[in-house]
Amino acid sequence: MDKALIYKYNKECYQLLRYRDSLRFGISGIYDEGRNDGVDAGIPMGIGEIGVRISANLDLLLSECDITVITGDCPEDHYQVYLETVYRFLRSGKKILSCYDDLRGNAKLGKYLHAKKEGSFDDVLKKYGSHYEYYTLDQEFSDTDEKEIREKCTEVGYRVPVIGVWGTSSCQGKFTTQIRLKKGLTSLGILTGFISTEPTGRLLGADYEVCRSAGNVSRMHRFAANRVLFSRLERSGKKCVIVGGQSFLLPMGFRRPMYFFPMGSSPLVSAKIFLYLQPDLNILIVNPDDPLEYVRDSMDFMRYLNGSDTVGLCLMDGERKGKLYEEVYVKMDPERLTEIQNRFRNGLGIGCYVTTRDGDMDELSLILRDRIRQITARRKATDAAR
Amino acid sequence: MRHDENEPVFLYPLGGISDFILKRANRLGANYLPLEDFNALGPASRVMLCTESYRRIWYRDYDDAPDDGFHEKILETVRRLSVESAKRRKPFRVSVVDDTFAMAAPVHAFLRGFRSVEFLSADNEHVLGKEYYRYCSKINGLNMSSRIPVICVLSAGRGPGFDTLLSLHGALSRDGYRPKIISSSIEPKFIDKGSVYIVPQNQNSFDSGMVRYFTIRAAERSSVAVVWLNIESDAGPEDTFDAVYKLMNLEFLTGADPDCYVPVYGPDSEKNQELDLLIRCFGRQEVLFGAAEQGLGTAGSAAEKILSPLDGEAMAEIVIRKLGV
Repeated sequence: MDKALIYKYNKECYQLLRYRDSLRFGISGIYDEGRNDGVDAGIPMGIGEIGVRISANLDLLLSECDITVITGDCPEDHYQVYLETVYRFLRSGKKILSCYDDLRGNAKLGKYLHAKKEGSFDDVLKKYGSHYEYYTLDQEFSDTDEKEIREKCTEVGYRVPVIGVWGTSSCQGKFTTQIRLKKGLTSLGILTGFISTEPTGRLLGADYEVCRSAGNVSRMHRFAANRVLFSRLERSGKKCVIVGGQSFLLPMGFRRPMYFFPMGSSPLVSAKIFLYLQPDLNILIVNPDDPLEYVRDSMDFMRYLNGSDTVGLCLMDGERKGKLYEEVYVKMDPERLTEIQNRFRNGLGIGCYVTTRDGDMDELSLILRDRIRQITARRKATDAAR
Repeated sequence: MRHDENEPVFLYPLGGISDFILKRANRLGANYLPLEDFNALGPASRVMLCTESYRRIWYRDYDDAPDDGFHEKILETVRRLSVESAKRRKPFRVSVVDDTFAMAAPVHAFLRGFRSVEFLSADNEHVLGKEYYRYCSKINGLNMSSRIPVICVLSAGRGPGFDTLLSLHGALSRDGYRPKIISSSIEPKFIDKGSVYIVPQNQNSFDSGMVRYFTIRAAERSSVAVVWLNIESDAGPEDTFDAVYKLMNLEFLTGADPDCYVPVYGPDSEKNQELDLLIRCFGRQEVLFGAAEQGLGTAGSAAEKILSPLDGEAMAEIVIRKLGV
């Protein structure tokens, strides 16, 4: 099995580490630009030692790996370290697997390579004998033109129940919960499809990535493109499909004062994905300190969007500390965790489950299995009546 | 829209928009008449071309769209009017009311047959749009300090929504407040085109930032902005359309960021409930009052007080008292 060096140590990396057993490669080490040097990667995540070291010694890390996996995008500011790191990956001749950024189209990297008198990205690949793979959202449709999408989108019907995992903020365990639920439902005999909203999803068993902004096509075609994915999964025998959103569902700005959002960004990313994917059942991931009112609003919001039910709340067993995307999780003691669960349960009248607890996920999977069966039976009856 | 001269404005063809306006002709303060006979047109006549083609263009974007020849009918309408106009010594003056119709290339050939053509489409707003983009390229933010109170008329029915907007606008104007309307649809152009921004749609989406920009531009000459969003969607061939409308509603509301809401209930109880739900989960701000025709959609409403969509005085009194504008 190939050994991979992962760069950076971020939430995407956490996912790969947490589910490293299901990867098609082993993990030899993590490069973290000088932070956490020499620390076992499981410690800042709060999952105990896992035998994978974080190191600032890139030469050593490169000598020990077969492939390099980039789990973050090129920062807007302070991108020099990122570019230098990618350049060293290229020069190592090791295979590069990039999630998020297409290195081939990265203008900053292009300029950097030219400044180094190396020519284009492809010239560098050829010169050092590297190979390059790119994992991204919209992979299924990003290389197709409108005509092709129109052709593909003729198959738009599906009846398979869809479970959506949404959240109240970023970096709170949505993707982890999706993986856990897929595992839970599969173990109950429900063949489960998985459309990921994380580019790393494909590395961890997702069937497809969500079609969010594919190509230069109309919004209608993006809707239809996602339907194609559901339709394909249904035809392949899946009995339900797990999907999920990004960051928060309800714009944080709905509490005044509303912030201004720059062009191209939107506080509605998750709502948009929600509408594209039209879930039947929802799981809402919450943070320990989320106000009840905000959680209730988020559930109401989902009901507004397509009339769907929220089946339960989930939360991780750690509290997030530190800056966004550089956060670490401090494990909560069981009493505090139970207290938080009870606050949500009693305050909102809905079950609250801990994603990392097997018992909780088993219970939630059973509830979902029953709801999936009900939906399937209802749809069959409706179809038969027609 | 207001014309200084009390000349008749003939609406053509007769249908959705023209019916909508003719029903409210008295309240709009203009001499709108249906164009049933071309011989009724005099040398000073103005014809308002009222089309609903944009929705059809929308449908045509989608593979399952019904091909009912609507586009061809629209073109035939313009062609016929153009031929009639060209026959005259003084051709007609034409106003075109539509979002996307004016951009359709085949139409332009016929428009040359008229003496003058005025587009009342959201297309005009692209001029402002360009300023917005220039602004955004310089400063990644807008001057929020110049913001004025924003009232959102959120309606679950186009008719009562428009009536409420008209009443509120009229009453506030009479009180000297020069309200600016920011609308998701074209109809408010009939109220007073000088005080209306229509937010353009682009590929079935609204640019939230542009809606925000309009609320700030409104502050230059007005002390209050009234945004109108009608959440009632037209039934499409698939539920996909409902989802598209919902997304557009959210984009619009996110940009408008209202200070308070005026829910307007219509005849569809499901839509009324949806409206209440939207206000409850998305709009944390104050609900000033609701509006509904008698006996419609007040059960479980987000508003404590329900007024008639025609009762502008009562509306303005509440707005002025509560917002202190």
